[in-house]
Amino acid sequence: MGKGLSYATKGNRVGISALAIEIPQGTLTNLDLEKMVDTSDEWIKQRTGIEVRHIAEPGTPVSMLAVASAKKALDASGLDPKDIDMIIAATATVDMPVPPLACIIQRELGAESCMAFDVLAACSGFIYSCSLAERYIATGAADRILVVCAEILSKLVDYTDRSTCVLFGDASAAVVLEKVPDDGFLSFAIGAEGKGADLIRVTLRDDMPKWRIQLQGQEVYRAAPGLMVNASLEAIELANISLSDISLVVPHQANERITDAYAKRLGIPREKVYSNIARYGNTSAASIPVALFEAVKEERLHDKDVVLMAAVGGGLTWAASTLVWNGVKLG
Amino acid sequence: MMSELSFETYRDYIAEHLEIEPEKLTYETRFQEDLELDSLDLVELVSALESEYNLEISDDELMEIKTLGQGYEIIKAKLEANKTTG
Repeated sequence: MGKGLSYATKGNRVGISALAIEIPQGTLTNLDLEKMVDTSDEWIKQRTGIEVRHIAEPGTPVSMLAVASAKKALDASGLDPKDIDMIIAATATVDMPVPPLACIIQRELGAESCMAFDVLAACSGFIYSCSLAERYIATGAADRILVVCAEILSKLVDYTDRSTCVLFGDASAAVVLEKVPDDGFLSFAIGAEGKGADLIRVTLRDDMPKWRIQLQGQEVYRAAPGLMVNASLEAIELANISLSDISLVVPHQANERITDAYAKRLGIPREKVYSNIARYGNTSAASIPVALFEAVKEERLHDKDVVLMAAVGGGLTWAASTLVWNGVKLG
Repeated sequence: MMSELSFETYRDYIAEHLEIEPEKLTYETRFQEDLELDSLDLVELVSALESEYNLEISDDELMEIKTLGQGYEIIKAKLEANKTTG
């Protein structure tokens, strides 16, 4: 594995100023799944750590979740929609490829004419998007950027495939990135291993009328922790900090066993690694920002804490970032 | 990190990784039946061994590793092969 694109942040200091989430009301529990496929609550908990997922009503446009979280984040930030220079929507579950989800969000917010586009980096989408936003603000090309991670994975799930249907859930989260007086994002280590491109796929099958998620679970389980550890170590070194300086690690919530393996190999106490997959399942790009939100609510994340985030996703994309959490207004 | 390979060092590494006393591990110990590892635990252990001995174990080879001894023989053969090819 090579270094990907890794950098220590320079230029204007850029941080997260607001964060909000939108979670669909509907739930799918392990007991529900026991009635649908050959599986059990015990097996699901033991293999994945998941107990319940939130599922949007069938037919819900992903833009609905996206806009709701974006509006809350914008309100929390105190900014006027016209102050926003750019909207990035990180998603793998658009209802239609055109128009970009970010443009729909822009219309609904009234953020007239701002740059708006979608990023598809699968589960690494949040960190990929934060890197883009950070660089634009750090260089002075932009001042305020909205990153929205919205996923309705349930519409892509084959609920007859017991190896995948237990894993995924729906959620949206939005963050505002702005200049901060100091600290903010410290580093990024981002890349992809295209040789793993076939391990996580969303494809049209001949026998099914819709796109479906297909996952080589064992291979992904083998590859993911190592990629996350390498990216994390790179991000830590670039940030010029040590492992013990990190207050909280917030990994993409793909599978509790992956999180366990990642924590073990990183060499960090498991208690310092945040996990909420039991309540949400894997929500792809929304996973990390939803986890950050809950970590704050649970008082696991405080002002001036150094956070390490890491993800692996379809592609296989991978990303890690270090950030000093400070003054984030929750929506 | 390279370690000098002997069954004892290999066994001790596994004991530390699994947080089990080394005395409980023998050449014949079966990972799933005797140590109650599930397939994900085994994948994780093999990944750790790959890292420790700086080698790669294929998916087919992984399928063959049911006991400590089988894992040891596969790693030993690979390290021998690495020595001869330099």
